[in-house]
Amino acid sequence: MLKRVGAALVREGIRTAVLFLLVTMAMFGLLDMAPGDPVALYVNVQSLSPDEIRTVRHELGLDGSLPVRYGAWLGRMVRGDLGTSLRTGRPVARELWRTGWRTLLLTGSAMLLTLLFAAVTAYLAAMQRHPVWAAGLTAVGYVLSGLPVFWLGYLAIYIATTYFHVLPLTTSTEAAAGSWSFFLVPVVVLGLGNGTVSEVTRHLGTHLKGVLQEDYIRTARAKGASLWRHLYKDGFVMPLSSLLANKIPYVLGGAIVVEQVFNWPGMGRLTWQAASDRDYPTLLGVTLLAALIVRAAHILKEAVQVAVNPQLAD
Amino acid sequence: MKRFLETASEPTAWQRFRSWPLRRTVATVFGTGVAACVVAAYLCSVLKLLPKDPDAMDLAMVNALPDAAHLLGTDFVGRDLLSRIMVGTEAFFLPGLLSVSVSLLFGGLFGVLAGFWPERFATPVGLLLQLMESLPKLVLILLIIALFRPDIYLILLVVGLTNIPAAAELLRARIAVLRRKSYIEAAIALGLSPSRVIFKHVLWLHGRGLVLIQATIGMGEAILIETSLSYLGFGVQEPTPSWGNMVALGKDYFFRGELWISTVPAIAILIAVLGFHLLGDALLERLEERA
Repeated sequence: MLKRVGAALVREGIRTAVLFLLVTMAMFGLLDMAPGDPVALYVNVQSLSPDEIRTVRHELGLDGSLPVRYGAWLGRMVRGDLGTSLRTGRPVARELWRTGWRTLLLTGSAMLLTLLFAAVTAYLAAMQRHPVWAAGLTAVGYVLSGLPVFWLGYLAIYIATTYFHVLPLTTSTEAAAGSWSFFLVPVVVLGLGNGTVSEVTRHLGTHLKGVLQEDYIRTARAKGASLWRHLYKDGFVMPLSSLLANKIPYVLGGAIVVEQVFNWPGMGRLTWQAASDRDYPTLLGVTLLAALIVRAAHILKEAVQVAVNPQLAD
Repeated sequence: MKRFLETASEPTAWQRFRSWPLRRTVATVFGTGVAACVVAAYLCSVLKLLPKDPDAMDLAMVNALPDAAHLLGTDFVGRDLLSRIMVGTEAFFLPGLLSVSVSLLFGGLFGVLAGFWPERFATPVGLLLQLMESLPKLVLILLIIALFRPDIYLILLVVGLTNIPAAAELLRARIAVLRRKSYIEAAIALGLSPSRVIFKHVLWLHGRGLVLIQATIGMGEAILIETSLSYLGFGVQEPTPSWGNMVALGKDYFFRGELWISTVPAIAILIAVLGFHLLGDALLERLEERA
């Protein structure tokens, strides 16, 4: 099994490298098309003389042809130099490092909550033993998917501050980021309100119904064997891992809105601020990091699926 | 004899509709109703058939709850919320249609290429789609907003571009199945041109349901993205109303306990998105049942 998973990881790693190259080309193309001087990404143009700017332009390889410029840009990026933020003047890589782990935690926990909600609802619906609960949860899922996540955030803040007194109204300090309520409320809001709950539930429900009709499940039932033991691989692990990989971009996008609502010092808020100030080095870094996170989820999915189902290895 | 023939013949559309499970009937009727309401609100807004002037302030009547004069109440400067909700459909209606058309056009193109000639196009198209999928939509859109400062039409054009992979994958899977059916092979063997087989026998006769589903889902998504962006302050700007910036404007009053101003547009978003989602799901369920 380890060998199969290893081979799958290598294959996906190569594909990711190719995709990364293409993504950076697309990014570079966008950047090249955008109005404004790319030198401004690296130095403060206003404080330098024209001569100095010309030197910097040459040093950065920005005076060459398009492939040369792309090569120089890619070379700097691979070494971790994503330029400096136009807003704070600090290196983009450090800003991403500072905020990225929080957003990863928020997104990951929210994604798990979404999958948990969907798994429970789909299981109840497919087993047809508690139809009222199943119908109720499905309806709740639909309503949650339609409600805008920012309003859900307002409601959560209102309820938490008015009835439970757990959340300070303005939570901009870094110190507050450690407390549990500060973490929990956004996770619940993003996990239930990211707009994918109903779709994930529906997908999982259809899949589970199909698996429950398989002969081996009928045999297991007839034998009186544990249904769960025969169901979990094909019924849950496979679809949940692919849903995780497919929906992570949506949840990451939702994190931008949720962090804005809760004033949460993560990558989403960084993105919002960067977009407001047209701070494109930061946005470029965020885009690349987000693409890496999405690809990492994809690789994880491939590894899990190959581990569960050897037929997928080739 | 006549009666016997009637029962033996194909069920009529109405009879088929009657035989649907209740859930699907409700979803379809609700979804169609919502779509009709959105179109009606948009047309009223364009033709200026509004109950009140959406920009007229009335400082004697701020933060009012619904009454006979203002059916949905007023906002914090006394503007009529119902009229603003109706004008708010303008923010996503045409841009949303643009987004849906773009994703269907290119999604259809890639889906046909990869589904009809898999040996030639499946790998490059698959790679291209994976490339587009590996960038989170909202992040990409924010990057483009920062670089180009586009208006809402251009933004939703980009949203349409980011929706291509989903549309293409759905069509590709369907076409790959159709491609192996005997009647399509027969059509090819009979010497029909590929374009005729693709447009008539694949897309029109067996793919229009999927296209319609993709369009409903795409419209729901366009509403969510437009409202999210306007909420964040990058889409439609005040004083032009969008359901997203209306929620954002009510924020301070919301935390003070005056929940109404933010909640009205939020519920409008809920109903519209829910309607399009339910319609899409019901149509998809029907299609899966037939296949």
